[in-house]
Amino acid sequence: MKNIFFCMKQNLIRGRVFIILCFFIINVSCTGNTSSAQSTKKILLLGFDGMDPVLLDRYMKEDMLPNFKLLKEKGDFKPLVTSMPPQSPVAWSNFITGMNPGGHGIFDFIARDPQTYIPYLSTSKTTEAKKTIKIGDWLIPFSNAETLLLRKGKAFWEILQDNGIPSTVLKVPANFPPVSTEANTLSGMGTPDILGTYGTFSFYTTKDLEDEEQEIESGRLFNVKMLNNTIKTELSGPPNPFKESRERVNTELIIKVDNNNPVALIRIEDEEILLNEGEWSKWIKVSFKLAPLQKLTGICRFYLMKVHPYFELYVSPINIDPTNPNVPISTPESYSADIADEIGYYYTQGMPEDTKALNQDFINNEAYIEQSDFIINERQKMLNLEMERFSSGLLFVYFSTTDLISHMFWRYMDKEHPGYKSEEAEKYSDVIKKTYRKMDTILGAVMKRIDNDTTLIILSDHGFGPFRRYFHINRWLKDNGYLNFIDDSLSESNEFFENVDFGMTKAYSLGFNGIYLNLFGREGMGIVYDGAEKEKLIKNLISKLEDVRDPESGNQVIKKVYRREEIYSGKYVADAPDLLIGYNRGYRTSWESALGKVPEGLLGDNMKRWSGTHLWDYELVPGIILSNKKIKTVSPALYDIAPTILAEFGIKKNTDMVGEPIF
Amino acid sequence: MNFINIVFNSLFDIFFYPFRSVDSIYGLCAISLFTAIIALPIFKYTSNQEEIKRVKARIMGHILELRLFKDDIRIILSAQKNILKFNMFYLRYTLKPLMFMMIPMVVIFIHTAVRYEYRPLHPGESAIVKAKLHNPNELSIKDRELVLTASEGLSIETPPLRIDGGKETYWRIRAEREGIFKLGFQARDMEVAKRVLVSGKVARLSSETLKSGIVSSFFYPGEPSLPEGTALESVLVTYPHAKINFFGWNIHWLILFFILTLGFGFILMKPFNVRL
Repeated sequence: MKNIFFCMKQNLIRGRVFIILCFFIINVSCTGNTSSAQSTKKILLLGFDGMDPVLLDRYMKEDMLPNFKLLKEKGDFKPLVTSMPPQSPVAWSNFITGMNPGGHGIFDFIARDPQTYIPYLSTSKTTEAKKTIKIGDWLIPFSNAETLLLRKGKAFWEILQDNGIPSTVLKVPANFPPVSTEANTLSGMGTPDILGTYGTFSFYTTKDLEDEEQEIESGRLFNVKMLNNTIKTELSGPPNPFKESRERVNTELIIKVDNNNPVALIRIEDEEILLNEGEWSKWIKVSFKLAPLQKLTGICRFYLMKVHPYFELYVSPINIDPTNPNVPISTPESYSADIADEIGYYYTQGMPEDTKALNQDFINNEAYIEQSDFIINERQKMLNLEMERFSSGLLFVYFSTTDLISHMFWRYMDKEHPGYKSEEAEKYSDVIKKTYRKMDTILGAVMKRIDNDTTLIILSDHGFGPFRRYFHINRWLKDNGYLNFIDDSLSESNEFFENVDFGMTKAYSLGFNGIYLNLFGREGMGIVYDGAEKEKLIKNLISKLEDVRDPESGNQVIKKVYRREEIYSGKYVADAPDLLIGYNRGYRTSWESALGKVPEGLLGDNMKRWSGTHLWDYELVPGIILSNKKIKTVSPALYDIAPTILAEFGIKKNTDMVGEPIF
Repeated sequence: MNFINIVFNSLFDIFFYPFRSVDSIYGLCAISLFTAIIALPIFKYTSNQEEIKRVKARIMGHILELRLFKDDIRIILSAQKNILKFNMFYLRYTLKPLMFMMIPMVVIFIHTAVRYEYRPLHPGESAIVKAKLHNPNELSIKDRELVLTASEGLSIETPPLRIDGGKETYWRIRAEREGIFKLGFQARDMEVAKRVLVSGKVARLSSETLKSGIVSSFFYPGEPSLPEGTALESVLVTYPHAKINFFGWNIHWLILFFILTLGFGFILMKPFNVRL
């Protein structure tokens, strides 16, 4: 008996010793981490897309932005040199990689296949399943479809993570699909909707239209019939990848309206939504049956535009469901669902504010402003959620609204804008200012929560200005003999150079700031030889383009034309447009030219709601940087931010980074 | 029937009272344990335990036969036939106790459902309210026009939407603050009231209230049925579905209730000396 007690006692002692040892080891290893100089260091970065230094300074002077003003006084505020061209995917790629476009390979929103001259979106590419078996109309895939991020170079959070610094990066542009990393990341601009587009809305109307269903710019228009106050229609989903015919999968949508009151009941699957006229719905989950046991889920919001005398309903692009994404939108993959569990559904689409619907009057200013506020609110919830968990490392949160609201509401505060209407301006001239104030409130809340170990950086990728006149650059190339038509009896060429004779074309423009030479050996039907001919052509183009004047005002249209070698360095310079157009204040490439169209006329008044721009010469539209630390660099640039973040954590920058630390 | 509902509601209110402010999983565990404790003695005393023991032993014997004589197809086929036969006997012996168990089980099920199927509204949340007329064709156009009133703490966000010739009327309400509030439906000079709960706690909810009747009173015990003489057939408040988090998974309460009840049943089988 004694022996049994002795054994038990011995086991107990051994057990206790083991527990104490474990505790000691864990304690020592934890202490080892916390004693590191880097572990308590924090960097909080807020990205306000398109925040303009001139407007910011003006509003600070008007005492409209007390928190920005306080940060400027306590720390620093400077213009931030943007990328050339100053487009968001290019600029944010500079920020992410610490390189210029020659290093990360993103030169525009739009890139082209030199063999076919066909444009594609520059930041990501989706390839379909390579191996499939066909049974009737059904396709059974044996490999996965792939989505690739086309941005090259290592993201700064990858380097931080490699060095044991935890990072959370929310909604940064040019990061779809998100690069594989242990950091918590959620993809931003560049993330498609479930149709695989950058946002396709649906619009239902009982107004008579020519066709029952019409494709419109970034949307689909449905002419629906009302019978006994009921509309029976379908919500249009994506083409079915399991069907060879790629027929669209739809889900039933039933709408009931009251005889007299401006209110409608929307039934979709098991959900019922009751909306007043001029009201947004909450997020609604929808599903589309692709095949037996295969369904695709997404989320969307409804906006009831009108009930009487005719019915109009807008449905947002169907966003990827963050709780069950069909393509990767976060790292780790469960992170998008974790956020949704905490804050509810949220916009996963890269550019959620529906500027295309507003531009075509499918929603009105009020609906757009409400949507913008909703998005700001969502981002703020994400920021608050991550601030709660933020104990060390890096936290970045991106806000898109400052950019898109400036695009859509600039004309209301610019009396020289051709689209300025004084009666509307009275109502909307302060929309941009109010958005800056909302950002100021967010900043104020953040400043209250950070401690002395936190470096706070507020930045924007570029500034802003008016888009008053458009320039059909491909028409200019045609008029000056650089571009020729197949059929000269036609006065125009449609998108994607439909009527362009590349066998007789020396230069063409695609995207918002680039000109490509039709080089022999590089382009599919290239005719310009490398060497003296190319050199002569470049000099000729630069001199003539910089000489273009607006016949209405005599203003110079293009401030400066850059050769790519002049401004880019890195492995991918050869993929860049040969010339980069730096437009002057007020001017921009036309929408048509960006997609390879050659319309009639050279310059025209921009009457669209999309009335602000930043697609100018990069020196005209710097972004902003504010910090609670003094900035030593005289003229900090976007590509300096990644090296700065690394330096703050005592990490050396990569050799391919061109930027330098700014503190 | 309303009296029986009052009794059961009071009993279950007392039972669930300690669990109203904690995670739903605790209340579900408790009611599952209670169900197992109720069900086991019923099973024991209404079933033929000896016969069940005998039949189960026969099934086990034939399963052993399958293993031992796996090379003899004749014995295997015979054993399979016998397993099937004794399974049928087993089902027959369990049928009677299951019938007895069903009575308390249905009561428990209904009174658990009124607490865990839906959750109360949270302040700031909206819900659709739907009222259905019993026979609108017998009513004048004026009488079909229902009027909704809301007590302080609720606001009506939309005008009425009448569909199907006024048979159904919809509104959207919004919860302003926590509390128990009242909606009033004015139909043919008679007002019918419905309770709306705004709370962060688990509570007894009645999403739908039907016209008076034994079946409707039994299956919708959360609130008294609609009074006699009303033109209304039903009124409904679309409360949000309750989410029950079980180790990170959102599981419907019913699945969890059955799993937990079975689990507790098996655990308590021996202490209760019951052969299932």
